[in-house]
Amino acid sequence: MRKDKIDLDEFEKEDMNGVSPMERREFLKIGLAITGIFAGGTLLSAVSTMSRVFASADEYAEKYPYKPHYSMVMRQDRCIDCERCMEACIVTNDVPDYGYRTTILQKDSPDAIGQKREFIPVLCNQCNNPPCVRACPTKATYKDKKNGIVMMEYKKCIGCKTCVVACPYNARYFNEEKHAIDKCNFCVDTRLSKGEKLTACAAACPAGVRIFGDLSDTGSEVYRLIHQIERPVWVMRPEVGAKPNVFYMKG
Amino acid sequence: MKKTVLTILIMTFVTVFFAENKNIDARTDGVSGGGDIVYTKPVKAVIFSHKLHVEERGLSCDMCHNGLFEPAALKAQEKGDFNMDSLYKGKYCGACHDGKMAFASNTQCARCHTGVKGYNAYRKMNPVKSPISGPKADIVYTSKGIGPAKFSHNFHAKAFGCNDCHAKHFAMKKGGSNMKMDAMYGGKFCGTCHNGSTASAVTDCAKCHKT
Repeated sequence: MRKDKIDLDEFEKEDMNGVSPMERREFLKIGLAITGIFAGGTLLSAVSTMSRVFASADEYAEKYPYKPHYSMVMRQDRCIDCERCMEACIVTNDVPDYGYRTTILQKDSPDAIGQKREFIPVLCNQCNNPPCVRACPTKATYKDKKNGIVMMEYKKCIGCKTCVVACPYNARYFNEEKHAIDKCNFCVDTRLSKGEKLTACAAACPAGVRIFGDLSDTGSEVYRLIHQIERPVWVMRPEVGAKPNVFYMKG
Repeated sequence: MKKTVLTILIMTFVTVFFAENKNIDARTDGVSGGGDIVYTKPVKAVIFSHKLHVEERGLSCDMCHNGLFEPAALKAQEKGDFNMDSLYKGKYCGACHDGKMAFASNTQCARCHTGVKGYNAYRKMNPVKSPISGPKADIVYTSKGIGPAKFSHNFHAKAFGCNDCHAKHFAMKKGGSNMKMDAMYGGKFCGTCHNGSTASAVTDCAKCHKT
């Protein structure tokens, strides 16, 4: 018996060319998302590691979930630890001496040539995926639906300090007078709601370290600083996956 | 003959060596007069090290004094233009810190700026000294019709040297100046500085006459 010869060239190819890029992307996303769940990692981190670290990843850039999406960029190398930001914060937000809403860390590199110390301003990172909000048993701390600021409802707070432990940025303290946890809220009650455009710390900085603005506004300085590739932009402790809204850069 | 030549050589060498050493000593003395200058204005804080600039870098006094900086410490920060913009224009530290002679003043901010943390650490190591000589106790001036005025040597000596006041404005002897308020209003005695611009005005009675 003679078998008919099959002409392979006549068959239609079943390679990737027949699939549209969008379909392929969606499919890969599903696969990665599932892997993420099974690996015990966060779903978002599996989909795009870039978006976790850099806001400049396209997917993340298209989806700033808030309007306005308040954010701060720290031009870290300009900080000289004059602590005017801390003073302004204390005066504006009535912060007691045993706590802080913002502070400045010092990092020494004794082996460096020339400059051997760096100052790093820190405050609440107003995370998109805030561990403190997840940890709070009474929903006293929550993500503001409009502007994305991590807020405190002092009345609901029972002072259990779970959020203090959960916060990867050490940005919360127990305020004895309020008998509740207190934290930075980008001066939303003391300044932004009164028409001011900047937080107290950003307004007080003489060296232009703290750039504050709306990340959903493509014309804002924060947007411009973050969506460029000449200078690296980073966030604190990206491995936590909290998707912070405080970014750091030099230069 | 050979011995004489050798002796002369050794003598010359020793003389030169000691002469050199004497120079170094003289220079060090000058440095200890300068010491560290702790600037707290317009921002806290920058610590200028005379030791680093003179001993290690070998700059001579006249490179900065009196062209860029007055000989008396901290006069620069009293001026309105003691800021980064002036430095970029080549004034003060910017005369050398231009990126050619020394690192540019618009780079490495925290190399000079030690911040509040650096200032506090420095003050812990080097507490502000009270006057070495002169009365430690307050001088109490009694007067009729108003409570006594207290003058704190301790407070004023933190910022000024003895010869800023003695003996051109105040006699060395306590009570020897025969002060009157009218003279102060005319810019004499305390009124030399307490004129409302350099320091609080002498018309602010309760500032000194506390009771």
